Order: sequence, then C-alpha cells, then structure tokens
Amino acid sequence: MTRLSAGAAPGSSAGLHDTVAVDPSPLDVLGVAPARPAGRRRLPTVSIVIATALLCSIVALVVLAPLLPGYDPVTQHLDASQLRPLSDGHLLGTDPLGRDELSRVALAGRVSILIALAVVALNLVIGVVVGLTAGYFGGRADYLLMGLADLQLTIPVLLLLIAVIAAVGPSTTTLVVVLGVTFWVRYARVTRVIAASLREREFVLAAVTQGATDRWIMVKHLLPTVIPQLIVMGTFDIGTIVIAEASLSYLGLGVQAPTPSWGGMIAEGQRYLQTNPALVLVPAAAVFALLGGLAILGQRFSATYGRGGADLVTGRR
Amino acid sequence: MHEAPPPGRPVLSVRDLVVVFDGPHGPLRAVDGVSFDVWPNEVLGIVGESGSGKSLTMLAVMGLLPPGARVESGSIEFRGRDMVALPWEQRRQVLGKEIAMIFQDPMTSMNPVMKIGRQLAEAIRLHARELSRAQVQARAAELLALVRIPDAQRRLTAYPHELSGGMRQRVMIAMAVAHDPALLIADEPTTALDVTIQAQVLRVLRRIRSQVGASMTLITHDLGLVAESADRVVVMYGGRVMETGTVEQVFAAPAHPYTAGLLASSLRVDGPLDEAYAIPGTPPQVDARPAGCVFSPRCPVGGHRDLCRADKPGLHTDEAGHGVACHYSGETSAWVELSRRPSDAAVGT
Repeated sequence: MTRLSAGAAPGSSAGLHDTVAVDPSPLDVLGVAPARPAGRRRLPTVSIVIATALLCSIVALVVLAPLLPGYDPVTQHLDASQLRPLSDGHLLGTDPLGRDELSRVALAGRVSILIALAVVALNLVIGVVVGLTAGYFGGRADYLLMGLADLQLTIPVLLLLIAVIAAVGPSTTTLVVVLGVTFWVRYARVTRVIAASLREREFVLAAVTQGATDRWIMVKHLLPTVIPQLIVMGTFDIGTIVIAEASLSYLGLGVQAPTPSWGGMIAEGQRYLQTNPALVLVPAAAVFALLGGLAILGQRFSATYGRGGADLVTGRR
Repeated sequence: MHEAPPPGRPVLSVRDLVVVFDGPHGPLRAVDGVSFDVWPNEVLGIVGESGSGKSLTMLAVMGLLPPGARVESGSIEFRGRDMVALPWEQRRQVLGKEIAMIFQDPMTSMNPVMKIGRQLAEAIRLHARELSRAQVQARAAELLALVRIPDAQRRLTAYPHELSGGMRQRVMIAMAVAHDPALLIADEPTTALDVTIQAQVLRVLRRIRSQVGASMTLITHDLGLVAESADRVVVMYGGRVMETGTVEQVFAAPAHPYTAGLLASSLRVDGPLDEAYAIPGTPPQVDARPAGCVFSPRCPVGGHRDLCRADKPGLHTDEAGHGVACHYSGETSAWVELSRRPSDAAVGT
C-alpha cells in the first residue's frame, strides 16, 4: 500500500480544471507500467510452490474429502472413539465421539471458507460504497463517513463481537453479519484514497464533459481501478476472518455444534492434548496451511500486480 | 470564411459574462464582462495568454466551473437555452451530445487503464443507452474510420499508452463527435502534440467539423493556428475581450494595441529572428488589475493617458462586425507602422 500512497500524491495536487496538469507518472498509480522487454522465462519461486501446495492441499481436502468412501462427519461410533491417526478406515483417527476426524476437518474447512468468503464480500461492498462516496464527493460526505470509520476503529472488534453475540445468541448468520460489518474500514480507506486522487484527473473531467453522471464515473472509471487493490487485500483478509471465526468458535460464540469448525475442533480437542494431540494438531495444521498459503500468495500478488498485471506465478509480463 | 455574420441565430451567445472567484479579500473577477457569439458552422478562435479567462469562459458555458468560481452576472444562451440557469440533469443531457469538448492532452484526458474501444463505447452509450452492444461496437469502428485511424478493429483493443499522441487525439476527436454535436470546444487541441503531427490532427479536426456541421470554439494562444483555422477571432486579455472580428479584420488591421503587440511579437518565417517585438511587462494578476483599461500599464499607445487609467473602455463594434475595446484605437495603426522598425519601437516603449 505504500506504493499506492506515494503514487497518489502527484495526481491529487493537480486541480480538476487544471488543463495543463502534467502528471509525471499517470500510469503508476493505476498499476500500469510501460511494457517491459520480454525477458527470459523465469521459474516459479520456492515460496510460490510452497504456498500453492498448501492451498491445494486445503482445497483438495474440502473438495475431495466428501467423495471418499468413508466420509461421514456426523455419525457417532462410541465403540470406536479416540482412534489414532492411520487406523483402519480412519486416516486421521476419530474424535471422542467416534466421528471420523478427516471428514470433520474437511467439513469444518468448508464452513470456515464459506463464512470467510461471505464476510469478506460483505465488508468489500460496504468499504467500496463508503470509500467511493467519501473519496469522490469529498467535503461533508467524506467528513461524515470517515468519522464513522474512525469510530468503528476505536471499538475493539473482538469485544464488540462477544458483546453482540452474547446479546443475540450465537449462530452462523449472526457470525457472518457481525464480522461482515466490522472489517470494512481498510477497504473504505484504500478506496477513498484512490477515488480522491482519480477524481482530480482530467479523464474524469473529460467524462463529465461527455455527459457522465457521478454514478457512471464511480462505476466505470473509479471502481475498476479500485477492485484489483481490494482483491489483494481481500485475500489477506480471508486469513484474518478465518482466524476471527476460529477464535469465536473456540470461545463457543461462533459456529455451533454439531456443525464442526476448526476453532471448535481445537477447543474440543484441547482437553485431550496429552493423550491424543492429533485432535488439536489436525485442525490447527489446516488453519496454518490456509493462512500460510494465502499470506504468501497475497504478498506475491500485491508485489507483482504493481508491475502491471505481471504474471502471478513467474512475475513475468 | 464569413465576411459578415451569417444569417440565422447564433449557436452560442455569451453576453456580459462575469465569473468571480472567492478571494481572501472579496470576490475576484476572473472573467469581466465578456460577450461573443458563435454562429452556425463557424470556427471562432479565442486567443489569450494564460490567465486571460479564455478557458474559464468556456468552462462556464458548460457549467463546469471549478469549486469557488461562479457566474455572477451575464447570460449564456446555447440554442435558445439559458445555460446559467439550466438544472444539472438537463445540462448533462447537453454535454457530450450537443456540446463536446476536446482537451489539450489526450494522454491525461483518457483513462489509462481502459481500452480505447471501451472509452469510445462509453462516450457513445452515454447518450444512446438503447443501442445494443454490437451497434455500439459498429459505431465505434465507424468513428475511428471517420478520424482516419487505420486498422480500427485492432486499435479498439489497445490501451491509450499504446497509441501515439496524434492517434490518441484523433480518438478524442472521435469521442467528441460521437453524437454530432452542435458545438465543439477545442482547448489547445494541438499544443501537446509533436509539431510534425499537429497539422495532421488539425486537418482531421477541420474535416470532421465540417462533415458534422458543428460550430467550434478554438481556445488557443497560437495565433498561427487561429489564422489558419478560424473564421472569426476573439482576443482576450485580463478577463476582458480586447478585440473581435473576422480573422482578416483582426490580423490585417489590428485596432487594439494588445492585438497589434501580439502580432508584432510573433516571428515570421520570412523575417529576421531578432526583430520580434515583446510587449513590455507581464499580465496583471487577477487580484491586482488596474482600475481603468486592464491593458493600460503595458500599453504603448495610451498607457500614460488619464482616460485609459480611469475608464474601462467598452467594446465598440462597427458595421462590419469588427469590435475593439480601446479609447485610442485610431492610433493603433500608426503605432504598428512605427513598431515595424525595431529601433524606433524600442524607443517608443
């Protein structure tokens, strides 16, 4: 994001009606760099390989596990509880109620990822609407909306979540809604900065002279520039949301039994840490694989996207 | 070219336009009582230095004055509509459809991350929402062909930075004429281009303009461009109109000392390089304009006279349509004669 704020400065100093404004790097802030001569083909870096492997394993887990013959995350087998990993018919063993651990960790992954995607999408929408409005119109709208954002930031998120969920009762819907309206501030800020700097550009004035409405300019000219930046942020945030959801589920405020969740599984398994550490290690490893993979890829994406849609894997245009 | 104003009603009629900025010590008159007409199918050159109010006047016509600026008095009538009072939504319907603008620098006036085809398509769709995708594409290709861009289909998928400056400006022209506007406002349309392609772009602009049948205001500080392309000319200085008339009237027999000074200061291909005249002094800042004639502090003809310092001359127009705002316009031709001999001109100033 440092690139962004550095690139935005020259644009914002040029007046809307300054017809002779010469921006030294009009393409820079928009992430379009002049074409680079084709270099030699580069191989994916080690970190990319690792990140991809981690993410692929998670995707394979949540997508393919339900297709396995022994898939059954709900049925209890009290005569086969606490089986160790690699036991017959249960690759990752069973939990204290005799439920198949592999099936449960796969289903929990589905739940966690779907929740995270829904939450990120909600936050993105709120952030984009607030940020575009504040950045494009400026003035009083900017003042009010960014004041609201500051207010949001002063509230400790976890505390707020616990308070709200304690008040209305825990459920997956509550979790999604509450998380969905608490992580939008960064999206709003980034959107606002981009919108405010683009608003001063001559091509926006040109669009106005062509008869464009404010909404048209926001949707056609500002949004396409904002979205890629926010997707990068969103990939990072999926990890944050999974952690938040796992934390809440761990505290018993998130996903409710019998639906498994990674946080909930860690909380349950904790009691058996001495006797059967797999109950904690399996869901923890799943969380780690997802977060680690996302973090590495997200960072790589933000580094290469700034060079103008360079190839994600090799960094080559 | 028109010797006299053509019959009919003007497309655009600006009367006594005053645009003020809010300054720290009260409003500043950036445009101070400007009047002119743009007739059907004519090119009106608006000439002036930076800060003469020429761009601001045209922004006022479109209703796009920057924050802090407003029309204080005067009227702007475009095809029978009062553009000052027109509500925003109706004005938006006029912009791009009946009035279109061509900017100085096509690199900054196009969205760098949007393909040419999409930008062109948007200019089309803004006032023709009913067109299908295929119809918009066809119209876009047609417009590119109109501005003589070869290989139109391939250009449509290019980004602005992949085109040359002249090519980009032609795309801007294509966007401007997408809806056959009645008035084109070209603000220094060739200034940002390489000298070698200025003529090309200008040819395209002229041909398109006459094909579409639009009137055009050509805002520029390039006297050569005006002489070459305009029918009539308005010379602005310090927010006021100094002189107006046909290009022949103004260029052959300038009646205002400022116009005469401008013409004397332009180099001639067939003349010696060291004989160019320089108008003494600099244009006054908008908050430090003299009480009388705004040009009086720099005027070689009447600057020292009390009348010029005390009284703003109005624009007096003769039967032929040649208007001048100068108390001593009769003496300008004598000064021009004098200034043709550089040594004497130096003494005269």
